[in-house]
Amino acid sequence: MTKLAIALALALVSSANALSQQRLQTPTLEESVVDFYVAEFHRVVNVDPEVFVKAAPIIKEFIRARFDISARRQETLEQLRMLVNRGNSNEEDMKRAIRDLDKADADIHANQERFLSSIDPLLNTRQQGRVRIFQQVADQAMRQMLNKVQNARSANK
Amino acid sequence: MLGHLKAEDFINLMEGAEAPTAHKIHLDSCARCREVWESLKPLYAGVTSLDGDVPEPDWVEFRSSVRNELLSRSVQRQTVVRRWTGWTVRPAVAWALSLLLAVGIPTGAFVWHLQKENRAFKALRARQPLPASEMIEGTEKAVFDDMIELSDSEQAQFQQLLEAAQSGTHAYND
Repeated sequence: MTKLAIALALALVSSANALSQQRLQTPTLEESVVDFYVAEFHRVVNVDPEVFVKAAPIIKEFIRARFDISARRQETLEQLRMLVNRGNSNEEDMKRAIRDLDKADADIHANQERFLSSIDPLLNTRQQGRVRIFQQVADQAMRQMLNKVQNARSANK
Repeated sequence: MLGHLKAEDFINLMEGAEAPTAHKIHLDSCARCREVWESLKPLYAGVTSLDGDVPEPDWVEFRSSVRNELLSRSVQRQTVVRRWTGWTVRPAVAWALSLLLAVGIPTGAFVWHLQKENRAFKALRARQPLPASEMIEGTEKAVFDDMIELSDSEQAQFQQLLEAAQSGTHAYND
């Protein structure tokens, strides 16, 4: 019964991606990360199917916002790097870029806080602790995978 | 008639001064004055005998002692004055202090200015984005930033690793 509920929840979570998957045949990077995060959440936090169904959309929203902020941050960072390296940069442009970068950093923290404040009420104290651990574990795992990809890139150069 | 002898008359007699004849006649005829005179004689003899026992002061020593005492007091006064104003009134010290102030204050101000510029430079550098090579890897922030910078083929490779991890093979732990 539990397995059936989890399977149903996973199906619900991925239902939003169904159309795009049909169109592109392969999931996007963001969708793959969401799936990975949801699976890790289930593995580490170990919640009831009812809670899992409620938590999955929160995780998905967290990852979506995280990708948006990172894209914005990288764009701002590149712009700022260009302005700094250019000798005759407009000071106002540079100030704006700095402001945008700081805002992106603040948004990362705000997104994290929003995620925890949304998911904590669904969980007991032990599970709330596991959520924090789950995030660390998931990020470390993704870091290892990224390193593997980046090392392969370096080896090919 | 002459009255009894007075005290000064007795003193004059004792010191051998020339006494009036009337005083001598009275002393011979007056039993009372003669009795006083007889009682004063040993006293006078005792007093005059002390003259030889009292030594003459050493006036050289006395002058030396007085001079030393006066000098000592003078030195004490100078010490008290120097304690309050001694260093500032000495010309050599005054020059040295002036030189120290003249050199020390501008040097201190210059060093302070350099440190201030250095701090400002460090603050500016801290606000500038670090080059990619200096970015701290492994943080949660860097994971997502690095992820979106992957090329298409790298993204595909990364996604395969994610799927493998979900399927339980945990390839990322290899």
